Formats: sequence, structure tokens, C-alpha cells
Amino acid sequence: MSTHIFRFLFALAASKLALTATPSADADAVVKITIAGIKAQQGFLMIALHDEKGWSGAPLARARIPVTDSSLKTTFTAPAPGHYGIKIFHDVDGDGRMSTNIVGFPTEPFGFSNDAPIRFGPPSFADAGFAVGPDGAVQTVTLR
Amino acid sequence: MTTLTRREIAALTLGGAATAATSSWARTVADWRLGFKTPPETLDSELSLISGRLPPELQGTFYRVGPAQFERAGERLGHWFDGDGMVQRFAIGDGRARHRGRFVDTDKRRSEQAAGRFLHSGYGFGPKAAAELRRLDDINAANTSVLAVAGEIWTLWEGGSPWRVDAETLATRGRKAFAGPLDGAPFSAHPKRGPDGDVWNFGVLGRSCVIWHLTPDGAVRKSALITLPAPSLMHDFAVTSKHVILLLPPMLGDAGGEPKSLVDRYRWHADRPFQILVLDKDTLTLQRSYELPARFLYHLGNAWEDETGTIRLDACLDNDATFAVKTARDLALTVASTPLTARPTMITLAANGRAAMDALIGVGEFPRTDPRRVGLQHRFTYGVITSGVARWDWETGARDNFEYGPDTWSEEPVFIPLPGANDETDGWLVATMLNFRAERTELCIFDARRVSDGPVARFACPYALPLGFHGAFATA
Repeated sequence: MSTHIFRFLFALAASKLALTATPSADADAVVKITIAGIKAQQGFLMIALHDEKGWSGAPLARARIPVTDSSLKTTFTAPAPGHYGIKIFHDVDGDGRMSTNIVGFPTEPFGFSNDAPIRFGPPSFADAGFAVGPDGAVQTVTLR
Repeated sequence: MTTLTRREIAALTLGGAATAATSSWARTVADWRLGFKTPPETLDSELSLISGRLPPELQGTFYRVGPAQFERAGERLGHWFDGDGMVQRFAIGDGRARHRGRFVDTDKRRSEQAAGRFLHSGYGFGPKAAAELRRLDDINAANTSVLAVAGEIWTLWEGGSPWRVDAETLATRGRKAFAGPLDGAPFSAHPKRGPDGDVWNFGVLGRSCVIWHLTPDGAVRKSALITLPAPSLMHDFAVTSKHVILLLPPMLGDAGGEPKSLVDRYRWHADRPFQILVLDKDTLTLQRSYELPARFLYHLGNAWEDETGTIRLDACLDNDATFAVKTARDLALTVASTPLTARPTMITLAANGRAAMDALIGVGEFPRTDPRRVGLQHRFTYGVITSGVARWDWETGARDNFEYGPDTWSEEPVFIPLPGANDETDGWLVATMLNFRAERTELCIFDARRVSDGPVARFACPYALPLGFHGAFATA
């Protein structure tokens, strides 16, 4: 199974974060994200926006939000209309990294845009990607 | 000894001719589908003695486990190895035998019971509408083997956590959650308990392999994560007094695509070697590695090493992975198929790096050895043959067989030492057998010194149990 993929996927978020969540003012292509299913009221949500090319690589933008509620909202500004995907994990212990067990399965809550399911590895962009039009997009991601 | 077999020397040259003549099994049994039927949720009964007499010294509890849920909502389970585990408990003593059977209440079973249909892809089955896989224990069927630990029974699967079961009531106590990064890590169904009581195991996922060393009570003494040279489908392993031995058949997780189940991720590579790695037990570092011609294996008997450093281990080897990929699917789907093609084989790993395989004639599987000799020198291995039980003598190549006859399926024999005796054959074999014609499971006790004499006691359940895998005996 794809433990290496899990490691790789979440290693991204582990790198030092520039707080690039864009408080979008006038831009088009605003992605409004609601994160639901937050259980532990501690730590941070680590959120990353990717395009298709960078789905398994570097994100276009990242955010780190302190957890204060069981449901939180944030927004990203996509660079242009197109297709994008979101990866989120809940950094419960606040160490900046996606915790995993010894073989790389996540032990902190996570989620993907479209609530795309994981099977023998993380979802494909085909499952997690969504369209961002001139009027932006709305996504609700339930952590599990 | 009844059947004296000739040993094949230089079995390295065997190639594809080894698995011969067991073609017609499926046609000889009355209705073999009986072994793949879902039983009631709970079973409790007294067995009736059909013949012989229970040895008065033999007192204890025989536990077995196997897949038992074969259909839901009109959908047939697509692979034998994916059925929810049911523990079968036989309390033996004072001339009697009583049976109790209970499903293991795993997360997988609980969610599928609630949904009323199959939800999870597993070892070889992907249901029509598969749920996501968040952790290995989502698909843990707890159906492969049992280990008695600290007064309870751990039911084990290929790659998830142990599930804890009450030794008497068989009520499920919950998942065994190891601490920290070991929580949810793969713990294989084939741990080895050494003469000191310590438990060794491995667990594999892709190229990641966890080595476990537990105290007799199941606490972690140490563990390590090693990276395998290839993502091999490993089911069993071996220990000697000094080493951990990993066997990597060339069934490799490189199939690509969008696999519906675990085994679909793997492909058989007949041109790639069967690799064997020898790790130091103290440091868990690689000491030696060997390459042999391609073989697939499920089960090991025992391993030991002599004063020259030569390691000997016996394994039941197949020429390829057909059983895992096709036969076990056919069986669950009740498509007639030949179940047993593996051959008991002695593997010799010399200190100078040379390796050899030396197969016995004839098929055999589910090897078991004297539990007092795990990791130490052994001469005998007990196992199943088609419709029977055998003892293999690695010194002479002789085999001591008993065949139940047609319309039977023989299950794993477990060796129980005679209290106070030391000889390797001073003890009994306890084994179940499915009698297709009488439509019942039978419990048979053999004198391990004279297997070919047949059972010294034979009990019958009033019903047939689904065919299972491995067992353990807990002395009273």
C-alpha cells in the first residue's frame, strides 16, 4: 500500500510555512472553504491549495489556522479560473507535521476537497479536483 | 510409518513440474461448498465421541479462527481470505469436547453489519461500492490466526492490529492498540513464541517492514522499521535462537493501475529471485542475504542454526502465487478448484552464502512443529495433505500419513507436548476436519508418534463449521 505516498503527501505540509492564505479582497476566483468535523479543540489546521500539476508536489498556497471551533472557514485566491484541489490535516499536537504511525498511515485527522475518498493511497486529482470559475468556488471538507 | 517417500535432492532444478497430481479433489467431495457457508452468529454445543477415547492427560482449550462471513445483501464474498473472522473454541478434557463459536467484532464487521452490505476492499476482494481505506484496521478481518497472550486470545490478520477476545466467552474486548507510532502498524498472523515465552513478529506494507519483539505478556520489548529490497507479499517468517529470517517471494507490489484489493497490487515475477534476509535478533540489522529460484510461500515450520552458522528452515513452497490470486477467489465464489499444490521443502542457508532448497515428494501445507523447539533444532514437522494429516521427518525424508478419505478437508494439526516428556514426538496432534458427506466438522486427536494409526479420539460437532486457517492450544 502507498505509505510512501502518504509520507510524501503530508511532508509538504511539514515544511516551514509561509502564511500564504490570502485575505482576498477584490480578486476573482476566490475559494471559500469550510472545514468541518474538527474534533480536538487544539492545534492548527494545515491547508494547502494545489493545481493539477502540483497535486503530488508543491502547493500554490498554504494556510495555518489555529483551531478554535469544530467548524472553521477560510478562503484562498486561486491564481486564475481553472481546476484546483485542497489538502488539509489537523496538526493536533502542533508540531507542524502530519503525524503517522511507523508505516506512514496518518494518525492525525485529514481531508481532501470533494471529500474525496482514500483507498490504497491518497485520492487522485480526478477525484479531489474541483472547478473554480470566475465567481470562485465553495468547498466543504470534512476531516476524518 | 506407512508411506516412505524419496527425497528429491538438488530441488533447485525443479522448475514447473513440481505440483502434479491433485487435480480431482473438487470432484470427489460431496458438496465442498459447505466449507464456505456463513454460520449462525453464535454456536455452542457438546461434541459427540465417534470413536476412540480422549487421553486423560490431555486437558486444555483448542482455539481456531477462519473466515466465516461469505455473503451480504446478495453479494458473494470474492476471496476466501476476506471473510470476517470467527473464533472456534474447543474445550477438551475429562473425555469430553465442547464447542463455542463467535465472530470477532472488528470495526470492519461492525460497520458492515450496520450497513447490511460489504463495504471494504481487503486482501483479494473489492465489493461493488467500496468505502475508503483510512487505516489498515478498517479492513482487518481478524480471521487468520490466534495467539494466546496473558489469559486472552489475540486474533490476527495479515497486516493490522491484533483483536483481543475473551478466552472463555469469546466476547471481543477490542483492538490491541500499541503505543505511539506502533498503533495500527501491521502485525502479521504468524508471530513466533520462543522457548523463553517472548513473541517475535513482523508486519509488512509495501517495502516497509516492522519487526516486533514482545514480552510473554504482549508488551513491546523493542521494534524496528526496516526497508525491504522489494515490496514482496510476505505472509510468514522464521526465527532461530539468534536470527530473524524474512522470506521475500517475487510477488511484488508493482502492478500499478487502480487495484480493487491488496493482492491486485501485486504481480508474480517468475524471473526474479526468492530472496531471504537474515537479521540479527539483538540489533535487527541485516547479516546475510540469499537468492533462490522463484517460489511463493505461505507457511514456515521452524528454523534453527547449527554451530557452523548454517540455518535450516522448512517451508511449504508453491511454484507461483496462483493460490493467493486465483484459487482462494474460486473457493470463496464456489467455483471448483484444486486447493493444495505447495510442497514441504527444506531450505538450507550456509554461512558462506550458499542456499539450497530440497523438496519432499507430494503436497503439504499448514506446517506446525513442537512449540518447545521454536528456533531450536527440530526433526519433525506436522501438516496437512489432501484429505489427511502427515508428519514429515527431515532426517530420513519419511512421511507418516493418515488420510481421512474422500469427502473431507483436513485442517491444520497443532502439536501438544505430553506433559513431562521431552521427545519431539511425545505428544498429540489436535486437528479439525470437515466431513462433507456427514455435513459436520470433526475434532481428531492423534498420537504424534503414530499418525498413520489414525485418531485416538474422534469427536463430531452437530454442524459444519466454515473452513478455517490456524489454531493454538492452551493447556488447562
